[in-house]
Amino acid sequence: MEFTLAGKLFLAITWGSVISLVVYCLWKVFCPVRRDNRSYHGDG
Amino acid sequence: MIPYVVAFFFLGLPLMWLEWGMGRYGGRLGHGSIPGMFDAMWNNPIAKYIGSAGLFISSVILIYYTYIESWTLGFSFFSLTKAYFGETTFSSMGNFLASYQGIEKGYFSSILPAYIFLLITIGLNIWVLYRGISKGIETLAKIAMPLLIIFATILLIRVITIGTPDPVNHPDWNVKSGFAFLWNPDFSRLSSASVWLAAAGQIFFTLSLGLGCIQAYASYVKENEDIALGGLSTASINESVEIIFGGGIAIPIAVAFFGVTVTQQIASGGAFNLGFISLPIIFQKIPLGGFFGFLWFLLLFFAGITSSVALAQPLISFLKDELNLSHGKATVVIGIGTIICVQFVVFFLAHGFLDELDYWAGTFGLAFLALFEVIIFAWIFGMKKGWEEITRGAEIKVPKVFYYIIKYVTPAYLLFIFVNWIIRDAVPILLMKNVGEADLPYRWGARILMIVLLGTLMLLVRLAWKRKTNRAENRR
Repeated sequence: MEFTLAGKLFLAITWGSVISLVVYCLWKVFCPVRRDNRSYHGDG
Repeated sequence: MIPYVVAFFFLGLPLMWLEWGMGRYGGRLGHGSIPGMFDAMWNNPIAKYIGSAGLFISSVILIYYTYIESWTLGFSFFSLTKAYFGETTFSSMGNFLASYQGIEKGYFSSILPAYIFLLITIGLNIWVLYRGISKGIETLAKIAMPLLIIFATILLIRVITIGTPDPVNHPDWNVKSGFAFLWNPDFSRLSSASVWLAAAGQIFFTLSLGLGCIQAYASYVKENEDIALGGLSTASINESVEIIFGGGIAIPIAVAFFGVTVTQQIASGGAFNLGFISLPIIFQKIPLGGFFGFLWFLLLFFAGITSSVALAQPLISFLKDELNLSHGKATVVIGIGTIICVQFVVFFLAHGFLDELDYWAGTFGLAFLALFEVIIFAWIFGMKKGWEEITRGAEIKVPKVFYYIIKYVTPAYLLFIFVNWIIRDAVPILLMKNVGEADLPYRWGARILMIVLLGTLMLLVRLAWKRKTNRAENRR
């Protein structure tokens, strides 16, 4: 089965999107502007 | 893959934010489970009873998921001891799995090994659950999840570099064909409703939506924590693991060793076949396969524990918050309940007992609860208040378009799924038209077990609210 150009593009866009999202989230989680305070509901 | 991506944006991500918002709102009022959250958001006596579906679905899935989880522990052991080495064809490996499950005679003469691994699995689950969220599941996840991702990356690199394993006899069987099989868009399939339904179901299961688990964890979130970022992180990390590792390892390597036609047959038999039949065959064909197999299944087992503990969380929260049980007592109740109910799954597996539970809880139930969640959150509680809950304390800006997606598109999408189900599937499935005569009593048994479980949970909800009313009256 031939791996078509459309297939390669679809893979590149999907993998690129999820990797970008993960990098963005990790950056926001580990470099926060502020973090806070108290819990509503104990610590489990 | 196209319907899957669409389902992620219109169902997965919106519902993820909705469930985080609902969970934090419920937590502020002292509710860690769906009955209390629905009751707080909808001032109607029926709300808490509809919410008992949030306890029922996760509990039923917990019953059979624990058994499947124990197979990964078993296969980790069999990889280390090379028990399945020599079973190199699809049928012989299938027989190995079936004899382990007690369905056929073969390598194993009894179900005892499977039962021992099940007891170890239940014991470990109870122990992690008993230790609580921060000391139990959080500690396990912090160690096991990065290890799983590192190992999956190594395995992915190995898969990509494996090329064409048998260039003389099967030059077409290669990893490239595997990626083509998975990623070449097939626009002709987009008109098939079943493809869209399957994609939606996969999104629910992958992201643990429609179970009450996200809400249970979110109820512990701090007052001004960024749940918009929490929800986006949960969804995107989950998706990256499924799309890159899930799609990049199992199917491409199966195509490289079995070809496209056989892989399609294996995949149509379900995810279990791909995981417990094709991967062990592949581990036999790579250097250090026994060790790789041992690590792979062991890490899957740890990932499974994080899921089963999450599945128990809604019921734990309910027993603690609404019935005032101690954490220890709530853990014991769930442990005993799981041990009793899982017996039916173990001994009636060949008769479709597990499949019946999986259909009603793991497929139908998820979409059912999600539909009520979005109606209660966006239309009864109100989307304005709901949006405020999702975005409060957010460092990231949630695109406003999701306000309208949650209010209009997600409920419409879910309604479309239900209408489609009623038109196409409801009658034959309810009447079990496609079930063999011999399996009918067992399938009905599974339904009776679910009805008893749902009835018991509704009675517990009634008892909890009665107690609360009595306490409030006594205070006056």
